Amino acid sequence: MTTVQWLIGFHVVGAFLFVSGAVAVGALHTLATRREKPSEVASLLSLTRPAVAVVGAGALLTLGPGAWLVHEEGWSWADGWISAALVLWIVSVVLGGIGGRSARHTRYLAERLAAEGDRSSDELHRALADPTARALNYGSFLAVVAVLALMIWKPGA
Amino acid sequence: MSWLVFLHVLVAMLVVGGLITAAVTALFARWDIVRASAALAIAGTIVAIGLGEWLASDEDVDADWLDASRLLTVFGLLLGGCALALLAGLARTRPWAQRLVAPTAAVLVLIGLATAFVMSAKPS
Repeated sequence: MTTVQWLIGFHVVGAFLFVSGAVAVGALHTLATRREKPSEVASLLSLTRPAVAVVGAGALLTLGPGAWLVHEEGWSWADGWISAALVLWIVSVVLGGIGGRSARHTRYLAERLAAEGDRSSDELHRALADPTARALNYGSFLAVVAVLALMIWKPGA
Repeated sequence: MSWLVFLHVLVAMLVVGGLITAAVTALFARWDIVRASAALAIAGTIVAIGLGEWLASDEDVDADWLDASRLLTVFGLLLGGCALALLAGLARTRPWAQRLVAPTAAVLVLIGLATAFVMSAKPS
């Protein structure tokens, strides 16, 4: 196998970890929003932590071999599809990070309520249905799907 | 053509996402979620295989890497996904099955990633 084949392979595996990890985080978060008991909400939100680690590993694995591929294939960072993908990658990571912070606060709240009798509260319902956090998470996912589209179509390459 | 590749890859990513969800929830004995995730992964695998075969016939591809990825998908992800769903069902009542669910899901995630590697690197 050539260097380029190895790099493409690891780049794509990184992309799979990035997107698939985000899918897992989203699924667990969605399930948490549908539970009534704070202990169940806290349990499901705490399950997102290993999935978030997968997202982080994938994000880094896409970047390293991706940057090497730009060099090996003789592309330029100034190429529209590469710079757009890089900007969208940063947007996805930043939005996901901010959305994740909101989910962490919701988990802390659910854990506190679980310890105080496991009765839900309006504050927890509001936190679970927070439209800003939802928009951040969807935005992060859409940005990474847009990166995938750029990688497949390579407009202008 | 690119639409087919995009959908094929996106569905494959959803399959691996379902398997990651299954692996994580199995660690915390959430068998209902494991079973639902495995069922979604099986459905997604069937769609991904269909899109992949459409692509292969459209582009008239016949290569060793494609045969290898077919083997990984059918015998690994499809049959493995069925085994995972079965184990998750049994895990509610049988302790021996509980011990097997998380490792099975983790192996399926690795098979999914290996398939992605083979299909993208296309080793000859």
